[in-house]
Amino acid sequence: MKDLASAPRILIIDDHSAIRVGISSALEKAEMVCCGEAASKSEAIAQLAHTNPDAIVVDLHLPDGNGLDLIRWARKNSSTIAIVMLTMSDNDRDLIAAMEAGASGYVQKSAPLSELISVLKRALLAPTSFTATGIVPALKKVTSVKSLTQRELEVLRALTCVGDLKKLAADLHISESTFKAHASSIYRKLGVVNRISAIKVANEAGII
Amino acid sequence: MSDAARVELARDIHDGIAQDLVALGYELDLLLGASASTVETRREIRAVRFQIDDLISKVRREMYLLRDPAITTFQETLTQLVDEICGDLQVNKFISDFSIPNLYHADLKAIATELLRNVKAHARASHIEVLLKGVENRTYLEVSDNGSGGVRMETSRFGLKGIKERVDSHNGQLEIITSESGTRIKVVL
Repeated sequence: MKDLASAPRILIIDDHSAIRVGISSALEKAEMVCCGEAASKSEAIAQLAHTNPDAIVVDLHLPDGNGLDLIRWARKNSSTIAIVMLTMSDNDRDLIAAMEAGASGYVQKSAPLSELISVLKRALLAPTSFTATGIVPALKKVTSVKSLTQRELEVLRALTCVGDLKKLAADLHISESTFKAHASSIYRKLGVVNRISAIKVANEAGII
Repeated sequence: MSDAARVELARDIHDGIAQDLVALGYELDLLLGASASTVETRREIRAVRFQIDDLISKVRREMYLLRDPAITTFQETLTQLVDEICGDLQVNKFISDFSIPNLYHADLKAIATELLRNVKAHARASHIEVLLKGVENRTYLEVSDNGSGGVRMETSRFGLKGIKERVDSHNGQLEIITSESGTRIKVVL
């Protein structure tokens, strides 16, 4: 085994102890060191100052707050720390939010430990880059939603409400055929075929 | 217990289970990483790992349903239920795309689950047909099978009565048509 004194030091932030144990063992096998564990946001902030880690692995949901806030805080204080978000969520919105908050990587909890380790290694090499499975389709979705016009956004929001097209169109003071034209333009831009998939995309992109 | 409290509790339980499953998966990853095991053992461990992945997705899906029923439409839920419960029967699904008020989601899901389980467990059916459509702003759900029939509200233990209670709570309608050649149950909310 290599000299552990030069090994990267990782702080694990997750409120489930069994998960921390698993990650910690995997770190050891990958010749990294777990320099501390935290089960909440406040513990994490104390540990960050105390242990000054090279990287943190942080859960999105913490009992006393949001992992994203913690990521923003850590990134503001250090441009070189590697930050990997580890989460149960498979929602594109969370993925993009992690990237925007300043994370260096995003790994779903359902992925094997080997994926976490490889993303962590990449994050340590390039903390200001971003590595995540599924980032390309997620960005595509966000871009396609951004291409919607103001009117199309209104129609898309209307589509999430209860009622037939006639009533939805009347609520927006437009004719049913205009409404349908907007809807088909929305479907085309989002690359979907029906109302349900359109609502789903809009939801994942965080606009409704 | 209020609906909100029940949802909160269910979500906590699901979250706990999901996280436990993740930890279990991690333990298997570590076992796989240990080089001592034989190819055969590793293959078996990997198979269990995949099963855990499936379970995690399942629990996660349920968690989303609890968090915001509107994210997953009832149409999607129904499709999943039919596949999960009656996947080995010959299935015809006619599920149309229309919007269903959020407040019906939980009860519709419970009703559909019960109906499908009944067919699977008691009807000795080989074929099932599931129909969902919107009729004049109401939600129409119909489950028919080609089983042995004989479904009666009076003799049913809990299942049908539970369905009836849920239907009544929304001032809906429940109709049961049963004969030796099968059963057709209609629910309108």
